[in-house]
Amino acid sequence: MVLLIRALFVAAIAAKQPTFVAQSDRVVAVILPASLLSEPDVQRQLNSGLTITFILRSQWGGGALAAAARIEIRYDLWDEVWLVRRIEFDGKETRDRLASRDSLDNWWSTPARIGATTSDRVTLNVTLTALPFSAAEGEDTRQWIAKSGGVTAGSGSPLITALIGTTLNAKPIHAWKWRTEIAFR
Amino acid sequence: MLRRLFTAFALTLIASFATANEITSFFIERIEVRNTTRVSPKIVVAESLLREGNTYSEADLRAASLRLARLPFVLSSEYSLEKGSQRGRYILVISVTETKPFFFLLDARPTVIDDEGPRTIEYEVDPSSQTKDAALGFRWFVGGRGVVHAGATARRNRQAFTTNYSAWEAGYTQYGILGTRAFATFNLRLPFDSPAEGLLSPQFVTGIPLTTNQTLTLDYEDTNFRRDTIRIKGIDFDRQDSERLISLAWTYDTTNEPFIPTSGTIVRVAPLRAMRDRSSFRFALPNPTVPSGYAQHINGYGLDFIAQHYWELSDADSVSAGVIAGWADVEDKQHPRVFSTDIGWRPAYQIVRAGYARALRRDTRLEFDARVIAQQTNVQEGEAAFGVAPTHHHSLQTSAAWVKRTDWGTLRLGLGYAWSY
Repeated sequence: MVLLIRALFVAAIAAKQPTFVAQSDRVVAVILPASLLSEPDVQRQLNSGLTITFILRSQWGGGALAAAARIEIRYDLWDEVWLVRRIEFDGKETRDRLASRDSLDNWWSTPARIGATTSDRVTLNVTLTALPFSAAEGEDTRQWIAKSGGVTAGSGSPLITALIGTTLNAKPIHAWKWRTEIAFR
Repeated sequence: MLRRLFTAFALTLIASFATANEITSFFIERIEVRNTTRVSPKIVVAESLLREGNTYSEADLRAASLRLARLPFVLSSEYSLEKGSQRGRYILVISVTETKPFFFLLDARPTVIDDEGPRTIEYEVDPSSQTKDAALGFRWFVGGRGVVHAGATARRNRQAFTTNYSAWEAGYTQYGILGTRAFATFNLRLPFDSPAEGLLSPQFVTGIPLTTNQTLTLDYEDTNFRRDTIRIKGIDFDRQDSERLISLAWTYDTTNEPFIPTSGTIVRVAPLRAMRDRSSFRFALPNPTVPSGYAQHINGYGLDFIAQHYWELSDADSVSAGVIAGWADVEDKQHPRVFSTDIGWRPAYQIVRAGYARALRRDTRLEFDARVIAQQTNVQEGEAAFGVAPTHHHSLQTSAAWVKRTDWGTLRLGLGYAWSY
């Protein structure tokens, strides 16, 4: 019985842990578990008909280097499709219209590129913050671009990194933090 | 290699947004407020500044959500959409978590003052705590768009020529006047911590939100500290002490919540006019044993400026920094004339402050605050006359506090230390 509970506990934790992948050109990608979208507060925002924005911030080199990526999801109530957008650390943008929740879960769990390094081995601190409303509008967008450009330029300032979140000026719905070590061959 | 990659990233991102940035907007045919038991849904809608039959972007909804979060009787609000009557139309649902009808805003941070140097003046420096709401009391919602409140309040102004005092207060606020965004509050106050016992004193505040972040407020206060007659040596003297304060404030506020914000900006510019009338008796030359009447009139003009920004460093940590400055022109006249002073416009105070806050749990946090008073008017020597012998000192002030904000109110307990140089 104890073993069963322990196994369930370990499985539950594992289900919320992302997988970090070393890609070519020393790029780090993350595979986010679909269970994150099932958190009650995230689920509530997903069902609101409004955008939920996820900011992925990664730091390495003792915080001296940083990068950011962003994911936006909105359920269109009339078309009954999920409108999704992902901007990776190097500015690569993908947009899609997904017809089902299963499709959304699958899209969510495709690798998202969150940073690149010159080292053979790197320890990453990754924060995923879920925010209500879209960031991709008006002045906020311009600020986000300017600031995320500054962050990825390697300034490494934690304050500037934090501004990605405060630019939205909304109280986070949920936040997750992970630490991982990636080795490149 | 990395630098080139990052430059390419920035250019690509800018280009992609320049060409592909699309603004999603929603036609709101109806607004529904849910989860309210005491707070009037009409007031929530009025204060959101959103109107049925209009189209709003998510940025508009976000700004409205933040505006609601700054209301003292709303703890939090969530927005969601539902399908409307036709394709492309939506029902906006605002789910509110409201505060209790009993409310308090208590700030207990006694300051230990190193008084070896020149006198230190404690200024109210927290813009998020400056409120015309009573500091302790009850609130009832009446008639859809009205709020009645009763309790105790504290008036704190930074200008030395105005009077700080505490008072019992009862008032009524009407929101959405004549279907507009305007609101008005009428208060009756009874000062209990003032130069005299105090008489019933009216206050009228009216304001209009210019945008979701900007508000223009006009404040008119007549405070009666004393009005009586005293007989000395067979002579009756009318004693009166009254103050009239008129101020106009423009406020830009994007903070995420009242009292304990962790992100956003507050800027406030407030010109004010104060008039103080006193009449009483005195014993003066050339007949110091015979009482004689006198009257004093103080005309004060002031300008108060405050700008503060809050940065959220992480889920738990936030920092803030800001400047506060005031200018004043005070004219002091007496009859019979002892002296008349008109000091002309001059800086009254210049304060630079910085703070750090760390959230302990969902509703509590620790705060550390430091401020440099670069210039202050020494009220000990000038007192109400302000300009008679103004001397300027510098001081450093620090404080640490434990803060808890719940649906009952906000409590701040701590200790400060200040010294002049």
